Amino acid sequence: MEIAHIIDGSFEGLLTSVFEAYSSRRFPAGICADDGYQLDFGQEQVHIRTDGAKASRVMAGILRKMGAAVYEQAWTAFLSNDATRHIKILRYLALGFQVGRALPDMLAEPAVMDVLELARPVARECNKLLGFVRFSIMENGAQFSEIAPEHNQLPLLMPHFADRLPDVPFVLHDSRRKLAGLHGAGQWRIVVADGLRLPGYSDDELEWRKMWKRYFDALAIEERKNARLQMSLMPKRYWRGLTEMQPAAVGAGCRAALPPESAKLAILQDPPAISL
Amino acid sequence: MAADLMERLGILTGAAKYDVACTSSGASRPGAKGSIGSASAGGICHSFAADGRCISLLKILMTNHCVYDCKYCANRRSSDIPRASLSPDELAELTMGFYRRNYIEGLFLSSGIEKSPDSTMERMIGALELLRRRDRFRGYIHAKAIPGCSEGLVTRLGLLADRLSVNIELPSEKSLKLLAPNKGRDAVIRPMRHIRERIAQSGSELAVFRHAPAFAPAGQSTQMIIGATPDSDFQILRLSESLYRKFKLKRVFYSAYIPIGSHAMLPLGQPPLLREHRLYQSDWLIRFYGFSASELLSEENSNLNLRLDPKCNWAVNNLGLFPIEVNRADYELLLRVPGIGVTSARRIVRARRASVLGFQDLKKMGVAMKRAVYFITCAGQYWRGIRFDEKNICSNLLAGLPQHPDGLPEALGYEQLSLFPGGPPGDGRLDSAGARGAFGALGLGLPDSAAGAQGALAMPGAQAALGAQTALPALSAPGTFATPGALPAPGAQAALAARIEPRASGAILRIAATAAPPN
Ligand code: SF4
Repeated sequence: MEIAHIIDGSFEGLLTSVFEAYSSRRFPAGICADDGYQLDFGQEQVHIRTDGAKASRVMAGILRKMGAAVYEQAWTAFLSNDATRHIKILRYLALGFQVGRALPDMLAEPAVMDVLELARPVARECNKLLGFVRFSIMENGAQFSEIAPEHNQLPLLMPHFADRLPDVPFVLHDSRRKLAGLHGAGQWRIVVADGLRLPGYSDDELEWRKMWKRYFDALAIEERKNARLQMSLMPKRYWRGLTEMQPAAVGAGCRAALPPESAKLAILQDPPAISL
Repeated sequence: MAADLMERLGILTGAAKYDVACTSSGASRPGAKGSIGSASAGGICHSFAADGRCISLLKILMTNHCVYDCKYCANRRSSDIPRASLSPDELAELTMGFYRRNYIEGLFLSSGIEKSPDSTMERMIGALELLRRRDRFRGYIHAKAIPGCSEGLVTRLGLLADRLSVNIELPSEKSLKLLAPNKGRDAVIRPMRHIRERIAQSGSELAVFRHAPAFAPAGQSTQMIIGATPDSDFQILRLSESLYRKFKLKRVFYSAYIPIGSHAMLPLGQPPLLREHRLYQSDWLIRFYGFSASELLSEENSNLNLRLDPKCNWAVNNLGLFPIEVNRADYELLLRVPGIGVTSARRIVRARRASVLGFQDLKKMGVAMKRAVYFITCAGQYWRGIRFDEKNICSNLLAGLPQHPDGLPEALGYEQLSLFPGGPPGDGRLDSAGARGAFGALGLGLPDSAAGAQGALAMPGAQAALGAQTALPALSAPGTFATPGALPAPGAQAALAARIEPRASGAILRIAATAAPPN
């Protein structure tokens, strides 16, 4: 009978699943995390208890036998929202334990291509967001931004902004996953954030948005207008967070004109709320 | 903020927008405690304007007053437009305000010539000094060296900026004389040469003294206006080629001339966008694909084919070299096949070590089959039904390329080509700051500060400790993070993913070296 692993959804859980597959000599036909992979009827379910020590042995094996690029590739693929990512990563790593460092070159292998195709959109979205994140400065000096990415981007974005704004306390809120990246005092981490209580915006925050919009509009060259090109490089799904893409009337000075996230977040329930 | 700042921002942005350089690439600099900002080697686009161009920097003039009268320029003395200036203080404030909100990667500062080239440069240097010294800004700065200014000032500017540029604007001396009577070739070439020498010198100093201040670490670039004068594409590309080879320029930008006001000596009508696009494609071939200008064009055939991209055009004119066998051909030759780019050529070279490649494999590796099939064989086989003759190939290639209503080939934004201007496009691996961090950490041990802390926390097994250990970062600022209790439990596992993030693999690698592999 085929088996399916049930893991807790963490990367360590996935690596533990790899460990168990080898030590039990039974490879799962599917891996199910709490976020949606449908079990086939008739698969035996094996619950995997995440084990840091086992995960770390697998990681050591990956780094030694296949190199850091493979580890990074698996990690990036893991951040994808594709529900089949776990089993694909397991197959990728299993092939890697056979062939070692040749793994990334074997692009004709479906197991390798699958993971490449998982990782690619994650990296692409990350590149977009590094630019498209828009912070607001709050009345207490901290910064806040909300994103709703397709893939789990906080683990990639947090180190970037923590490095760039080392002395600035900031919160990056992934509203789709209800996660928040918190940064302050040279540290960052990611927590579950079902509710966020936000302080008000700083006095001139709206002024700054207007300045930015003015800049944005003034920069376009009329004779070269190309809405299609603009749209393909900056797809509509990002617009909600981009202050420059809001109609000019927005930001006329009233609170209600602020992007919708503020309204929504300001009235979220109490604990476990994070206040800035 | 001064009341009319918004107005002046509008005027000075409008006056700067015809300078097409907007990349923030070529410099790589991590953040530092006590400072704000970092630079990322590949550059980051923060927005895209209504014309589809990438917005990466606050591109602005200090003033649009100008004593010169260059015919092609909207800010020339004789043109009747609203004028404005910014003080160094206002400029620094704007830059920092935009930067903190992640609107921009940095500043691109240029200026009209208010009194003299030297006094203009002094003001620009003043603004950059405020940014770098007072505001401790570590983000990207691109500054224009004003033609005709003294070398000492260029040197000071280069120690503050990541990239310097002097715009050639017109590709021949004759055109320059005609349209930019106050400048002349020398006023442009002299500072370019000086910058080149200083960059070379700084490079060798850095090799000896690690802390020698870097001079324009992202190199220098220039811009040429296309279509304002009768200069041919061959002239333009030959000039670019020598700028890359002799002056070691990082980029040459091409800007389709847009009639600004009217002048008897200048053309009217639509900007030649397609020609500009073809020049960017050719420029790309020269920089990354090993082509030379004289392979693409000649004295007799001196303008680019607007209907066919320059690589297809070259291949069709050199059919004798094709078809090539993808499982054997050198990397250099693969690069010359239309439809195969740097990324896919690299993938092919890697993948064919492991197995013989067929057409299906190529497709998966990102080869544009529509174009490539006419020029390759896989294991000795042609793509089914290919007829190998020039006329047939040519018409098929043209039919296969979607055309934009106004003649522009679909989707291919000229600025897209500049997304990886510092080097050839990556090979499809993650190209984010996070991933680069991983390599930094692996090669050099963990960087200090935040990364170090993360690295320690990142050890698997340490996670139980994490919740207890990081009572959330206590802040000195008025904003203090309140701890939302210990780390959230199982439902929150996705969040825990952060714990084995690749940045930390340096630490992990070290502890892991002693652990046994899984079976
Ligand atoms: S010197 Fe510069 S700003 Fe002045 S007219 Fe010439 S191009 Fe324009």
